[in-house]
Amino acid sequence: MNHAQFLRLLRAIFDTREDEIVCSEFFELLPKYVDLVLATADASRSQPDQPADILPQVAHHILQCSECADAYEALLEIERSSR
Amino acid sequence: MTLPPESEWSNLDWLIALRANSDQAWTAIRERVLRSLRAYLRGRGRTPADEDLEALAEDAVQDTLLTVRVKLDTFRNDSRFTTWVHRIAVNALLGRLRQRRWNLRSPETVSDAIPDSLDEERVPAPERAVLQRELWTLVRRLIEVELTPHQRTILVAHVFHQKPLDLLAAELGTSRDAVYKAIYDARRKLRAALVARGVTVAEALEVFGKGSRP
Repeated sequence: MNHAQFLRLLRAIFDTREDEIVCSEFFELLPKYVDLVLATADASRSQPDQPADILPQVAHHILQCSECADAYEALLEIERSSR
Repeated sequence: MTLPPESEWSNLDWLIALRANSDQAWTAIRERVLRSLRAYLRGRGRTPADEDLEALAEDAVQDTLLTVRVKLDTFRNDSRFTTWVHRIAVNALLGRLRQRRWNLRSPETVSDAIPDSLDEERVPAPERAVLQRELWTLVRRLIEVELTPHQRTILVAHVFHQKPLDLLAAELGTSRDAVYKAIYDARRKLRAALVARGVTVAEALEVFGKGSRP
């Protein structure tokens, strides 16, 4: 483990919340979240509802679970390039 | 049944066609997923011409189609249907890539232990090195004394040695969610223990943050 990885662990420890979701719940919500991210990117910057505001537990899980973060990045990339 | 080009299909079109077992629909979804996974692999610097990776993408597509067939009625219609299918495909592909990377890891990296020290690319200033060593030693100690053996095994394997969650779940005869929950419980315990010893997030991040490098 290097310094960057240990720093990520420290961040994850201190950012632990009571209402976190598990990976299966994340996967259920991920398609909706990615569609929201892409819709928000297409819309005006002044749009008030950001995906992280609408689905905060999804946004937080991305920060806490590296494998789910990889899935989010991959799905976002695939959807962005296929539209 | 002849359908318009699949790029024009709505969620309902997909559901009706797949439930009706339309060859056109299943072929369309298969080709779409395979195209997406190949493009993703190319974008990640991997060459789909590599027979191993091409087979991996094909296997991930087969897994995806099976899962879509089984779970079609669970689609919640709160996203594009194709995003939902791609999410299943991403899980299948990344799961196989992680398994492959784990199988190909170098034997000397295989360990169940917490490292004695952190890998250091650049040596920090002496006084900061002392603070880093102290915090690392404290966290290491807390992992040993505060966590249950189950939590410690999972945290160390996944966080310190990047063992895939699905592989851990299979080895422990449990679910991925249960493995993740063990890591969550470990984080909660470690946070409480650090706070009880007066360690703040600001202090921890300062010691190991960007300012820690000379």
